[in-house]
Amino acid sequence: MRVDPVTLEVVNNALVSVAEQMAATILRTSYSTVIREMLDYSTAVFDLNGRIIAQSCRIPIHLNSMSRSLRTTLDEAIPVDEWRPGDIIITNDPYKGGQHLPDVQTFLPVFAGNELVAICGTLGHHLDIGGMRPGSYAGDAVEIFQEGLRIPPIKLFEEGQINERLFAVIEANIRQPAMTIGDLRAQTAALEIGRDGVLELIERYGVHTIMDCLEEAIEASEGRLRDRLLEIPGGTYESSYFVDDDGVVDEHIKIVTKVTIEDGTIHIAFTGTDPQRRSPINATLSSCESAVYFAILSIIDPSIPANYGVYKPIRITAPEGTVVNALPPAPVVGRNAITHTIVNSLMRALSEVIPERVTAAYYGMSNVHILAGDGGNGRDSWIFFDIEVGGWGARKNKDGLDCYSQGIHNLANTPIEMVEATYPLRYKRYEFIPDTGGAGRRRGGLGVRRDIEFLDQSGSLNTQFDKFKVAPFGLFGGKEGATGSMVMNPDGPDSEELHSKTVDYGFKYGDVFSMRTQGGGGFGPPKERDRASVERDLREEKISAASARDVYGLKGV
Amino acid sequence: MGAIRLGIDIGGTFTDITVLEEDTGCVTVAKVPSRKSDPGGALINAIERGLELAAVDAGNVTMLVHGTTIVTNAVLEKKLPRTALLTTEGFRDVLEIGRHFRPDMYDLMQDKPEPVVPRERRYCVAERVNAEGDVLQEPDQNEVSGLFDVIRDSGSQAVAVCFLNSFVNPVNEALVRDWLRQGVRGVHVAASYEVCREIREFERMSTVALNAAAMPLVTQYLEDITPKIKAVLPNANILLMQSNGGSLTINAARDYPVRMITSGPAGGALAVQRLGTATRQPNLLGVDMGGTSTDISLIHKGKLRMTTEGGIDELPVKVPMIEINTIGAGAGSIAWLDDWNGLHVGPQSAGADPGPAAYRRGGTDPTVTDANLVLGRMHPDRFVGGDMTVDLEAARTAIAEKIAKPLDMSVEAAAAGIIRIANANMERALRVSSAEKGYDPRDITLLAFGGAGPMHAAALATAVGIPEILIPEHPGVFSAVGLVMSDIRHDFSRTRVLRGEEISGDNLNPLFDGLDHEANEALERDGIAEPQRDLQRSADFRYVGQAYEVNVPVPAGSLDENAAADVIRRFHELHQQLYAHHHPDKLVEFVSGRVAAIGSTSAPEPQKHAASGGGGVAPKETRPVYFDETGDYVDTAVYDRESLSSGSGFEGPAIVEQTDSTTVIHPGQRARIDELGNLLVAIGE
Repeated sequence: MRVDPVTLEVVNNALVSVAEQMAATILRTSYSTVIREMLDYSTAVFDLNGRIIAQSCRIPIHLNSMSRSLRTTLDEAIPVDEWRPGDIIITNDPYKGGQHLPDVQTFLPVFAGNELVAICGTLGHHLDIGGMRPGSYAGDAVEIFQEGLRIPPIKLFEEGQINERLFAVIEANIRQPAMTIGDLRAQTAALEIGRDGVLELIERYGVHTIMDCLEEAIEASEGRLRDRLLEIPGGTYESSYFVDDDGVVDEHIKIVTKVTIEDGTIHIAFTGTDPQRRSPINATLSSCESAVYFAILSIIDPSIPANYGVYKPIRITAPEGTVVNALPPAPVVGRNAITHTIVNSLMRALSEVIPERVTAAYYGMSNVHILAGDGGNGRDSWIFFDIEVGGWGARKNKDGLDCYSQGIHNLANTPIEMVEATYPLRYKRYEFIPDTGGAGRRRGGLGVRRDIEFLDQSGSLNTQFDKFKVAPFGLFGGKEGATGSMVMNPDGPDSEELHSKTVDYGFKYGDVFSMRTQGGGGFGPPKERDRASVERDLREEKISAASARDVYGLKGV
Repeated sequence: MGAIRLGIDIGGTFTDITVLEEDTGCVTVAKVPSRKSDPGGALINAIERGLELAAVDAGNVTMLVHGTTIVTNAVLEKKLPRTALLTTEGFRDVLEIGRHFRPDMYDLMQDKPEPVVPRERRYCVAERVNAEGDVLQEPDQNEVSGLFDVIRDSGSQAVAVCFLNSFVNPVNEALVRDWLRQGVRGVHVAASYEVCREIREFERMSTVALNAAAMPLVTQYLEDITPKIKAVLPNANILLMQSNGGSLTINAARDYPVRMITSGPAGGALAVQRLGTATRQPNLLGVDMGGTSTDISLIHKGKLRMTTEGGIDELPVKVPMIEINTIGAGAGSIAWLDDWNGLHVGPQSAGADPGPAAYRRGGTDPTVTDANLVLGRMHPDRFVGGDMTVDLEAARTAIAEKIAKPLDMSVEAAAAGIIRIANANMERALRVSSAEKGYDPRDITLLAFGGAGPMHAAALATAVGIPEILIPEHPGVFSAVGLVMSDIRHDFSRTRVLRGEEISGDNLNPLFDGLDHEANEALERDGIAEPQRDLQRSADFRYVGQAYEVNVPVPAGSLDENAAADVIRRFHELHQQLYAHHHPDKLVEFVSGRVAAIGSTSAPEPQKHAASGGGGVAPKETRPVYFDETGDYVDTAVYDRESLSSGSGFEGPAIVEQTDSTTVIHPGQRARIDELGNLLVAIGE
């Protein structure tokens, strides 16, 4: 051991608190609801090799993404000897380690005297980064150039001097510059808070002790994961799962996950997965890796700290040119249709050998919806971005949770009163949908219905939903969860079903947009469900009488 | 004999009593075991014990302030009475959906918090108010009447009403509340706008649901204890401690029980503030370390920091409360090794049962207390004043077997390591409450209390860069001392969004006048005469587009252009202090005005002690104690706290023992007793 266990624990905890303090700064001072209410941001401290020393990661898909971007920046764009005190580097390039254009990352070098000792980083999902559609979710993009402004790693601040020209380019290419610039300020303020925190720790413990602690922590995480993997019977476990479609061509997209566990390692091969699409339903390798790391860690042992060490026993084979490793200029904003499907497919693959550690399929998509208003009559144009979740997959010994974040994302909803106070929108409904949870010995979680009335004169709707056709699967005799759907004006005579990946639907005053999210899959045969749970579900109207009688076999209903 | 005040703090294990004689400022404290099955009986016992110890007459007791964990425990133990919820049609599940953010990112076997009201008792009413406060649909009395039987048949003892946008215009909510009160007799009714008039529907709904659920419980409790108290204390005005550091009358406590949800730690924070005022120390960090957790509060320029973002057991409670940072590190925190031999302390705690290994009550896991015993900081025969004996060997064995041997360390090094990690956990929380909020630790005094606080205070202050620690006379019952110092307090707020030039006297004066009016009415109902009233105004500001506000003080009286500009300037300053950046050119938004209505109970200043003439004092013994900085046991003087009189001083290393706590003074530190009987320790560089 390089450091004693007491120092190791004290320093590691202190480093995490630096990252958390950075995160608190972003939360408190950001402007867009995407960051401040949905919590779509992360912060981290890195060593000079781009390895994470500490992170405050709220969103699993951000795992390792910043690390890959930083490593690419150091290798290909700005080598370590060109970083100066007071620099801040910005990038959002999915083909340089990023995932999609709205995720803007910033990095700041930490100098102790003249020596560069660490790098602080932040990632924030910005409301708009330009491109064809408001919110930069263009379902009809065929190349990344249509998705918005692509910023390669470049200095936003040079030795403390703001790069006004770069700011001007950004401002000229995005829809809500005040908000985006405000959020960028929150990100850069957090970097400075992080720098001060790191310097204080260095002063107290010395750079070498901190680096030794990092090596120890990496070794411990790697060792723990290997030990866990050794406990699982070796072998190959395979599953495949589907994305509904790419929004343009009406056919399923197949994702194949072949998992091999041997000698304390795990290998995930995507060989056989469908080729990349001429639409934004593509993931870069960075997105694919994050999905795999998250799934493996949460299934195998969620208590292992997620640092560089856990990546080492995991090997990924993702053929180039497929939807899990798309090549430029493929558009990528809809990457999460792919990454959620990867996670669910890995659950099914591993259910064969460790059924007690997985869940049936969860709702399986971030369900992004972007409502934009054209303004006029003295009102500014506006963009409202939100997501919605559905039901958790059921577990061997527990029901799936009703309408709760699972899997690759972890987002809070935006309070209805906050939306109504800010935008010309009015909510009509936010309620569970009975019978959407897949029936089973353990029931899948319920999906939710959310109806929003549009109260501007004109505007547009763009969405990225999925699992409207391919249902969330059940396991071991559990039934599928309900598929999702979207309907315009559901209670009127001219109600209209919408496609999961709706592009530029024209809103008019009074239109009601209704989404119904997916339920989670069930676990085990429904007839084996204990009577008290069926009766409680019935009393709570989470299942219908018909379902209690016909699916669960409850007598006397 | 002058008027007497009693403070009674009923906790899970002990009930603490404070007796304050108003004319002399003399304070007497005592501790008796709590009785869970008969809290009322235990309360009366505590009163009698306090009166007997202080040798005062029951007839002279004019005020009894009671701190109770009855609401807190019912929430934590999920034993709240059956409750119903009425909400806007279409929004039946807001309470259960919550914000759907999971606190643990990875754990696939996690649960989500149980809603206070399950779906089967959540009912909808067709009604709607928009964001501007216009009534789009009035509730229909027939529809609501149709729910009366349903609610009765559900067995609900309380009903919460929470409609969308009621914080802007509560008219629909008030109507339905009144219909319910008339229509469903014997059931408690709470409307969200009365409990928490703030934006964000889920948080407000959670607050009013908890409030409603606690109403039957608190009402019954007060009906039980009030006559019993009146029988022994015929002249006492009975008050209850709230989370905001003020007290409530019995009537207000019945209507707003959710305000008492963190009243225990609030009593401690208030005591810190009051003692700071007496000792003229404007900036203090209060560190209350108990068995399972540590509560940290900050006093800045003599004022307590308040928050409206508190909660309990993952359920948000959006009422103003003293900002207290609670962390899961206490004397009972367990030290453990993960499967890769990483050493951790807590958050699991051995609590009081089975307790540390040294208690020999079945606990075999080493705890922070066991480590303190092994290092000689505590004496095994003088535990809680000698009422209890503990087993040093059991502590050694637990640390040796579970930590030292697997890590190939000595037992002493392992014990010192456990203390270092526990201290580091608390230290981070201290930084969150001080330096990270822009307060310079060099200007702060660390006031440590709770049974275990004084043992760790000197090391904590050193780590954070705080130059001085203060241990009050009775650290083990200090929270109860805060009770007798409390004033009556109500908080009122009104949300109205104003931007830029709209933030003017013309708009602000009516708003604050309205709040002042409500505040005066409430104090009038409490029987507080005008000279005893203090209305403290503040306002929540943010930059347009931000979601979180910064609370800024607002002067009393009519506000002119200059006063408004001053308040906005103060907002920029506070934003800079809190978040290290500010934007004087950005548009500022006023969100809510607040008025705290304080009814002073004119608590006297603490009594000064006669100085002993200063100089040295004799230790009662010397024993070896292990210190991290020496890396070994050092012969250490042990003093009896009771033998230390004002003006006396001595050098560390030293241990100060008293019935309710033990203070550790490290080598090179200097201690003295001030004129109020506090133990002050100067932390060397």
